[in-house]
Amino acid sequence: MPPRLRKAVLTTHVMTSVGWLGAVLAYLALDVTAVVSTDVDRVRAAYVAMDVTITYAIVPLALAAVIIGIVNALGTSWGLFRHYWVLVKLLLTLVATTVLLLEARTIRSLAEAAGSGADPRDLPGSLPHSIGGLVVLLIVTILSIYKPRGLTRYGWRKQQERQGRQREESSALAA
Amino acid sequence: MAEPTSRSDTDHGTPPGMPRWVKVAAIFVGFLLLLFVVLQLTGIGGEHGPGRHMSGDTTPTVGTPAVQNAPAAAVIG
Repeated sequence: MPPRLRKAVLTTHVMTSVGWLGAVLAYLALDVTAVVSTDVDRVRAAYVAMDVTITYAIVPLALAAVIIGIVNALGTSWGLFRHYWVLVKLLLTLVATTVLLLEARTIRSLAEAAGSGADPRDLPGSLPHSIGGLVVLLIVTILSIYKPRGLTRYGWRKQQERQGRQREESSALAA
Repeated sequence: MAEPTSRSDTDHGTPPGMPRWVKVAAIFVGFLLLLFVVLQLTGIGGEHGPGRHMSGDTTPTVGTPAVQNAPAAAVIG
């Protein structure tokens, strides 16, 4: 990938990933309000806002982060399966996105129920999922920054191949 | 994301083993999954998935048909 394009992809990847984290934090605030508040109107509004947030912010950002993250990894020598931290990050992101897509349907139903005129304070909220999602995204962010070392067997093989090629090129130049 | 640099601990002739942080993380995730399975089997954790959110005597029934058909969500964290 050319350096200029690589930088653009990386910038987009960081923006979508951090945006996803921020959107989940905003969602968590609404979720806590929906569960804790005793004011009926406030709880009803929280459920509707949760549905809007998840549909128009969290899901698009999550899908964009996954797709652009994969493009970013494949476009650099980090690769997708060469380093454990990239692999773990990919798995966590895929699990979080899958749960998110399933949870979005539940939130839509909760928002519809909250807007139906019944008492929305009886609805259970979705705190375990939003807290779990936030924890996973924090772990993913920490992995991205610290990049703990560790090559996979595939990554090690690729590295050996590259070093072998470099040695051949050096000896060809020296000859 | 800066490009990776070659590291001395990966230059040996044998493939590197799994790092300790990966093993610890794998054990932790395994423990969480086991805990989830035990909670589900014993019934302590209640029903998992979208259906749980809509159960209860006082819960309005709007939107429940779609919810009941939804698959159970995987566990995280």
